[in-house]
Amino acid sequence: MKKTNNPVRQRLAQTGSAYRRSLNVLTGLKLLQFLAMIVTFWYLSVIVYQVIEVAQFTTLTALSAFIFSALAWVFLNVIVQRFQLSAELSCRQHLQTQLHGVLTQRQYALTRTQQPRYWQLLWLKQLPALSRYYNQYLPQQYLAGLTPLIILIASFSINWFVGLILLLAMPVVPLFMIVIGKGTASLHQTHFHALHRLGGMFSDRLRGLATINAFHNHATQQSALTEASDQLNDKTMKVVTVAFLNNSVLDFFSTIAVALVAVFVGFSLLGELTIGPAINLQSGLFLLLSVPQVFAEMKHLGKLYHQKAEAEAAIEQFYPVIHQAGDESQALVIDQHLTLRNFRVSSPTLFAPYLSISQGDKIRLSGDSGSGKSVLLHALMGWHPASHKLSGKIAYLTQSPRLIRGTLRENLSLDYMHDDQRLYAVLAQVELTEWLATLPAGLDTEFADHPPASGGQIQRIGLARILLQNAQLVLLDEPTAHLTEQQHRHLSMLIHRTLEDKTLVWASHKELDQGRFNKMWQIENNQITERPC
Amino acid sequence: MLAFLTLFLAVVHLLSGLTLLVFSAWFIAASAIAAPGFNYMLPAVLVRALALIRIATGYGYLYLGHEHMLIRLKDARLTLFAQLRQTHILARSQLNHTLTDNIDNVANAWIAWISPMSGALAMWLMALLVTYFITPMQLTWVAIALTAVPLLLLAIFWLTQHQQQRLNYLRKHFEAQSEDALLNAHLWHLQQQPVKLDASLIWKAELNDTNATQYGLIAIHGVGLICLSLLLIFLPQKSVGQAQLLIPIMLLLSIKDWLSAGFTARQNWQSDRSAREAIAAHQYQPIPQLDTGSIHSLQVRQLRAKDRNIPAVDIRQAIQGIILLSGSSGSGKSSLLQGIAGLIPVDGERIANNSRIGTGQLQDACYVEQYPYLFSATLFDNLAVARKGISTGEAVAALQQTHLDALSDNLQQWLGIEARTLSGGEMKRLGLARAWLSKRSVWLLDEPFEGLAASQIEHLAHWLNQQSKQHIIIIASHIQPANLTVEQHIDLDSLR
Repeated sequence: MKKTNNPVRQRLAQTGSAYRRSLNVLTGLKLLQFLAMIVTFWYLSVIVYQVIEVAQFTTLTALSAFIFSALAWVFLNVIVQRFQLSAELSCRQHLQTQLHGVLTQRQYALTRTQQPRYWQLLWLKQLPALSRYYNQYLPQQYLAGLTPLIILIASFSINWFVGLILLLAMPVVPLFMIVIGKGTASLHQTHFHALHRLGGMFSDRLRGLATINAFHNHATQQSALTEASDQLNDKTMKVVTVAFLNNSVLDFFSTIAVALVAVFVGFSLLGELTIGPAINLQSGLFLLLSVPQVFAEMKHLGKLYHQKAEAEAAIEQFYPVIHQAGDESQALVIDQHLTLRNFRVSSPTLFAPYLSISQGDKIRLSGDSGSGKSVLLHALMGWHPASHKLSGKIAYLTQSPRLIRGTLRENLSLDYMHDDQRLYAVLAQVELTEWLATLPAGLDTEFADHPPASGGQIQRIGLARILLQNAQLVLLDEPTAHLTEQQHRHLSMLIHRTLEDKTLVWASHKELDQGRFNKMWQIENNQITERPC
Repeated sequence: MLAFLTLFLAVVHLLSGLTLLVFSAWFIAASAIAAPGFNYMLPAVLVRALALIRIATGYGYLYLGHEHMLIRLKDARLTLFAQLRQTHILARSQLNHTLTDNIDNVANAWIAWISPMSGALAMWLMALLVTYFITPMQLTWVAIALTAVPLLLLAIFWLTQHQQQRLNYLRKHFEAQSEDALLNAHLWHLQQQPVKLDASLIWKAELNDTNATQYGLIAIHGVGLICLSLLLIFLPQKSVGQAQLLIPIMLLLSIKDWLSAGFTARQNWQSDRSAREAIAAHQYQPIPQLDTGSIHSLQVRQLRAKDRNIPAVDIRQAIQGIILLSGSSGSGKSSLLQGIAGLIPVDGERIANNSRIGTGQLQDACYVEQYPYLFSATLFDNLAVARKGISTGEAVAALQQTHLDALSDNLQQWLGIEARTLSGGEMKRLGLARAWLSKRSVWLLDEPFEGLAASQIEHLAHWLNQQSKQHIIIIASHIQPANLTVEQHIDLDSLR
């Protein structure tokens, strides 16, 4: 692969290095297929020469050679197709495994940074775009570069004049394509903002439909959309007018080449023209069949050109996700007592000269909103790159609880198995027995979009999940943030009561009962300080 | 008109390509065995003319085809948008994406499949006719190869007919499952098995669909070459030494090349069809409008969102002031506000200006969402949504009211996709600025204090106290600022 300074290309090349081998095999197979085609053309021209110019029946040798090479051509086509399919699938799965690795490590700290749609598009659009680039575009690029040379050698050996025509025409094509490509790019650059803004307007207004309807703004938006569509179409046409020239240039050269060679060969056969060695119908037909193949693979590459643009867009999403800041954190196994010295998070910056966690500690984590309380907890979980992380049976309770789609039993047990008695006991512990009685199917009640549970109740289910896990250390990330003052006090008491025998780190900017904590971690100006309370 | 011009150019482009191939083959064969006096000038000119026609129509087809496609796209989008006037899309946000994609698909129909398929049909007919009139003795083998094409196409249709449905099902399934998994990522660490999203089934289905087309093309190629071999093996004595024999030979040799565009259009045709079905299946629920004139008083009896298991709420008659609906998340605050505004169906009674009102959106009420939607447009356009004919002066005044003076210097600044340049607090206050600009009597505010710093909350509460002298303000919040003057306080948690 060419060395390049373009960071996007570099990232594409770096990610693609894993698929080098299948790229080479695929290119090799396609070249073989191309050669089989050329051989087929050769024997066909031999047969045609015998049948038409010599006006005899063809020889058995020529006929069987033709049939044999034609079969090889078709057979290789099947092999290429099969190989390409399996290469694409395994490439996508390999890329997917990389995503699994990152998501398993960073978990919630990573997923929360984007909407679910963002992640889904990685799977549905970006990974396929990358695999198409590595398994379709790149082999085609090599093929488009190599096949003209084969034809060039073949034509030179038949008639140097035809070879010369091709040799002169060949660099002209990429040259034109580069010139036109640059022209298109600069036009696109000129209209980039307009195209981007206008292009996204329709789906933006669809998303904002509720707001438009709430303010009866529909008529205004309709006329704004009409105007934007007209402008968008106008600008797009300006860009494509030039972009399509690319296609036409290729078409021009391949068509002209066929026409020129046909006329040259025809005139040579008639004896009107004699440049280079004499041409008979055999060599003439072979040239006529082969010459268009100089441009055929390049034309096909042109059709795949969008794959390159899509892959470049995809790598910009994929690469930063995969190449998160490295995980060099020191894992500390939670034990009777552990200390973190010179604990450090680099982005956002957080530093603690000394933090300690002893069994049974009740640590209050305080700081303004945005000071980094969640980041600290995520770092301790190992989800955020930092100097240290904790390992062992740790549970984390978020501030925005949700119920998963499924039964209450599944919501409590997740993918473990617990008997009903245990579940009832835990629900009683978190004061949900009365609520359970209101559910139509008890533990087997299915929850969908609007579960019959308030925020406080869902947070209790979260608490119940933790009780079922037997975690030694529980990290609480503002579990009462979305509750009313009264509910906050109630749930806080419940948490203290049920998690009495556990080690707790509790982040909150709401008031908590100080008497129940023995330690305080305070975050101020990116500095975490520990003191007893 | 443009459609047919596109189609015409496409067909001429493809036919001239095929003619060029056949004609140049014949020309060199004829030249090889030409008797003296053979007029070679005319064929030579014809070859060059065909080349030029092919290039010109190729460009024309691309150009006009795209222009036509863009016009169709514009019409389709505007028609859909017009249908959405005062309606509710009954779907989750994701469907917006598929809706946009589907419209693109449908707009692209003429380029994606109508033109290539028509062109392929024209070439198919031409190949048959040319063989019939010029080399009738070779008709058998050419006809066999040509008959195989529609048969193979039918076979692929039959094999892939449920593929699109299956793919749609797999995608929906993946989206639902992955969304649930992603939104619950905070639970992953509590599970035994690591959560791994897997789209392999979708990819396999996609690749198999493409594969069907490719194998179909390979089969056509094979059939063409077999027929060509048979033609050569069973060559009649009479055909030997004839220049036109090269015509069926070339047609059979390159059958895959000239039919491939039409053949691959099969996939586009099928996705176009499923896009049309998907667009037709979209459901829009109209939001009826209710003009009560100016609202002086508002009252609510036993109101709750339909089909939701949440307590019904009473609000005493209010003529101004702040009504606070407090409750933890999930207690039904948002749906209650939307129900009062008339944006969603409800059970219970709404009473405005002392008379009971039916269903429908209250024209004189303004619902401000928890996360107000900001358009990717300028700041001014985002404010101007609130009412017809808002002036720059009013927009600046609204920004001052909501303590966003800092933004008023640059009303024409572009807010970017979903207004990412603004902070959460600024976005919330822009929502309030819209309410103020709308000049409506009733404000329904969903969690206006959430995510604001203590000083901002105090400030906002003070401003709302002032505004409540001219408005009926109903606030749903789990935060109750100390300085908020509340006329009525309804605790939804305690109603449960």
